[in-house]
Amino acid sequence: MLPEVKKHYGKVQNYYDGEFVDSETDRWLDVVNPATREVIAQVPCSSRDEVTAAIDAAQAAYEEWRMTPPNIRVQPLYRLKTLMEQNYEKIARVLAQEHGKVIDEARGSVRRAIDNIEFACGIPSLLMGETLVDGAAAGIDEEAIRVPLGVFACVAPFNFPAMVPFWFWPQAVACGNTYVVKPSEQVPLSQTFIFELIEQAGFPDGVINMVHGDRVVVDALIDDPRVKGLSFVGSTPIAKLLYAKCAAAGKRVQCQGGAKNFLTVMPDANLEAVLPNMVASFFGNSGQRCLAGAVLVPVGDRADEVVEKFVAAAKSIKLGYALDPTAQMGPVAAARHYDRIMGYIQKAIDEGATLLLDGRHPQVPGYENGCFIGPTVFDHVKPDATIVREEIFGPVVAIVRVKTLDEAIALANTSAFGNASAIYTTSGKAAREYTYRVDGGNVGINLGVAAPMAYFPFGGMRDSFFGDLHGQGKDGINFFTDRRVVITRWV
Amino acid sequence: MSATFPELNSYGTLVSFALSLEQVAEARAIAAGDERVARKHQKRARQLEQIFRERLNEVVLQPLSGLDRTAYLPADELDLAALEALIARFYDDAATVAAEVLIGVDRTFRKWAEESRGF
Repeated sequence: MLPEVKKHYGKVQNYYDGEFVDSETDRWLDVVNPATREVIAQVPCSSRDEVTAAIDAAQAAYEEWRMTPPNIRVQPLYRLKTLMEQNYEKIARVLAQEHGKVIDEARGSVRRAIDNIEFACGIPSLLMGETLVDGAAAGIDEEAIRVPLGVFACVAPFNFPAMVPFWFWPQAVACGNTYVVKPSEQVPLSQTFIFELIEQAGFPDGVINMVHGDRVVVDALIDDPRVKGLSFVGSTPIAKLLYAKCAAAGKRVQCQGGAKNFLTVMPDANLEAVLPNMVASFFGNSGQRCLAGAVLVPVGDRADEVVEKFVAAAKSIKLGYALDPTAQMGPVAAARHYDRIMGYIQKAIDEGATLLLDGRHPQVPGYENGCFIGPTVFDHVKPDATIVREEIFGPVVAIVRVKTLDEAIALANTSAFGNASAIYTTSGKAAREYTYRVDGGNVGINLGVAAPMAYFPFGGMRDSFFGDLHGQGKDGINFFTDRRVVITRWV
Repeated sequence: MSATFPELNSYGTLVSFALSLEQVAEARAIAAGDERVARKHQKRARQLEQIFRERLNEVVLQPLSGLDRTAYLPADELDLAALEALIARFYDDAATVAAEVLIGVDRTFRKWAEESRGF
């Protein structure tokens, strides 16, 4: 067992204007280790005044920061990358402890956070504008230059607490904006630890800030006209709500919502080679990934074999505490979430699905009180069943058998969500057909977690994304800058 | 990272198992007075740390099966030559499973297997 960084992290602080600040709120929430249900910290539900103070700091820093040349703006990002490499294991362990994701997954998400810093370090090249000599007329040149907008903010989810803020703020800041991060109040510790590194990296005061809390913080960010844009990752109802509120307030907005991802297995799939990948898609991060497989769709006459092998592989997954390096799956992230998933399992039983593998109440020695739910698999689920339509966000698989690829694509496209989708096949034609017709933002070919790297936009369609420009990649540059057209005539 | 030999059920444990083997081999090489071999193992350990940090992202994380950890445990009584033979066998087998998802790393493992056979 790897050691915990700390047993208890005390009262978590906010960070703004270049300082860690004790919250003055009288509302505090417990941060709970989901493997033990022990309280490991308290997080403040910060007040509107505290959010305003963070925005004041960000606004005050903005003018000087935007006038700092891009090659200088990225220097603290380089230093932060080095600091995060040096503290890589420590961040991963704090994250594993607060969230429950197993240590390999925690390390992987820290890596992705660092990837995004690296991408943002390339801003001097990425931020270049466009120029056309004689673009307007003979002797009159035209150019479009990129300009930052001001203060941006993000509201982060509970499933990737260390990584998701990095989809946004390094780019935003490198583009010349200033920023406020609101971590998930359920899992604020890894982000707070990262802010200790941010403090060491030497950003000017107010350029990057963090305020903990609940919806009071979110509302205050949206209500403040100085906040020019918001990035959100979370559930669809909240994504929809924030999208509407931000649009009404004239802000830029990108809101990633929920998901229900279909994994289609063609009869020609190389099952032996792809089975571990399929299993990892459904059960990695205990199913709490917006890219996780949720519905398994075996096509044609190999369905029995696919289901049998899939269930056998799922059965062999080892549950355990995230800091046990041999654990393959940890608990779900919170008691409230645990109850919700258990409710969905019961609902599937009530609706008549065949329970092939029951993950309720697994034995995890030493962690009897933990929020553990083992791999759970339902077969012969009807396409309109609740567990096919609604996002569960846990290790629960619905199997819907179909006869043809057309049927599989039609099934995936009936979902309200359009986050991710995958096909397992050895046929290029089938893969091409699937990619072309399936209505999802991230598609995997023989890959169950089609997670875009920092230099690609993180896709999402229909009820999985509200906005125009996605997080990461060049979409991010467009989101965090506007284009000013300059037409020049020298006389 | 201290020398522990976990169950080989993920790519993370595969790489940490390799790292532990390298740490043991470096210590035995130092004890045997063979600095050249000790340096080789130290260098491999550094490369493994990099693989650990840079190659194991969520696209490639998946359960691993088919390798029995007990076949590669470095018993205390093994001399350096026997330990190198065991390490070579480990990297041969690890390369086979790594070829599925850690493409490129499998070549490194094969190279190290060859190298250990030559020590």
